[in-house]
Amino acid sequence: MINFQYLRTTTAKSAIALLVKDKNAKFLAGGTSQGGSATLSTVGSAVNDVCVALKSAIAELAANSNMDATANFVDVLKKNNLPQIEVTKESQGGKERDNYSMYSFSIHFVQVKVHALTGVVKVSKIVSVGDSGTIVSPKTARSQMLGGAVGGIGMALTEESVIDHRYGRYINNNFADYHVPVNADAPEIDVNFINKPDPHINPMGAKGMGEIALIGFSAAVANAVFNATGKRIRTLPITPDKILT
Amino acid sequence: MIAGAISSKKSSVITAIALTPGVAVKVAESNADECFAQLFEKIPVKLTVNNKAYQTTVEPRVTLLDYLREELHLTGTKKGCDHGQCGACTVHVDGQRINFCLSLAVMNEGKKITTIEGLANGETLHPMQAAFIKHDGFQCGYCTPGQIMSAVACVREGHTGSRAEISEYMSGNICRCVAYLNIVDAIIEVEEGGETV
Ligand code: FES
Ligand code: FES
Repeated sequence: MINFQYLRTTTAKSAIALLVKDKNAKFLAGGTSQGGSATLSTVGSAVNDVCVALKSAIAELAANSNMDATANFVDVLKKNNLPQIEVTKESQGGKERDNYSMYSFSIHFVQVKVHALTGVVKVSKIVSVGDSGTIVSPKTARSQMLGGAVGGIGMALTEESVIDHRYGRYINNNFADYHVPVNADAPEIDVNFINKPDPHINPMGAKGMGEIALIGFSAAVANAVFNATGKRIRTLPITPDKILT
Repeated sequence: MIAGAISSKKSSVITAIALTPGVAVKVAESNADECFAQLFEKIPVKLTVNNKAYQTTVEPRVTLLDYLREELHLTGTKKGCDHGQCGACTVHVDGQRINFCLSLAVMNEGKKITTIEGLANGETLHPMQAAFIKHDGFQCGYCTPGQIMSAVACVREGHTGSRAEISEYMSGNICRCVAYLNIVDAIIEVEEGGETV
């Protein structure tokens, strides 16, 4: 069941924004797994398609009951004695899939401070820019980029799983020995988006951004460390021992 | 002395039962040993959780975290590591934030405990809960109950002088989704809002 306000919205983007806010809207999305940064593209497209189908279903009802196509949807339903209208639509990918790539892109700028004596690296400022087509939800998109950046600090500087090769077990399988970034490790982060719709991927022009928040980040840190120290460290994490030797 | 005498009496009863083969088999079959164990091994405790008094018996090895989740079914408090390293299990005991996985239920006799379930006032969210939603202070939400309990305590303790101070005092709560900056924003909002938390 979908609320009428979606139909007054002109773009699929705003329809989805409203849909996710509505407690009564039910998603019966099946067939797609959540992953590969594909959820927004696939589920979002399905929502778009069902909204379009709903719009034409109501237009048809209006025409059949001799009403203007621009008539209020509530009036159309009232005239037809319908409490609600239900539309089910299966949504599938088109042939654009074969003709276009659908990657998202990101770039990270990192400022590091390397302690001259101890070799400890501290990330002091981050600017991340993401291009994943239309940004459907700016707030959560920003959170995703923040998460990727600070996760990237862990990947670049502290996180390393050490295996005991005699027994095949992890030696540092706890948070005391395996260091994930904590609140105090998160520096000032400036997140920006290109926010330009991709004309081919889907009607919303929105691409996934799960991975791009992190990808490239550790390389940016390694480059910054190179700029600061003249040392090319090629194995992560960049721990003080590698900088000092 | 008296306690020793009682327990030696108990153990001689068990020995007597154990030495009787027919009885021993029956005992095992009817799980009576479990019942005995419960009788001997459980210790009475009185707790107040979210303003509700509980009087019960628990095994001394049970952590308060497990007791809350398994017995009281207050599953809002999460277990992340069970080692005191992640903060997912943060609750308030007599107004202080602690990692519940490191506290045995029997150690909390007579204490006043507040969990995430006890923070809101009916349907009205606690200001910190509302601020977390407003600032998107979570993604998967697993660390969130602990973060919110910690955040409330952080404000009460007065460790909100600067972003850096808040970050420092919130660093006992790990968030793998890294909502850290948004969490700090939420805390600043609550602090500046001036509401009593
Ligand atoms: S579960 Fe208690 S600190 Fe991790
Ligand atoms: S919100 Fe996922 S771990 Fe904090």
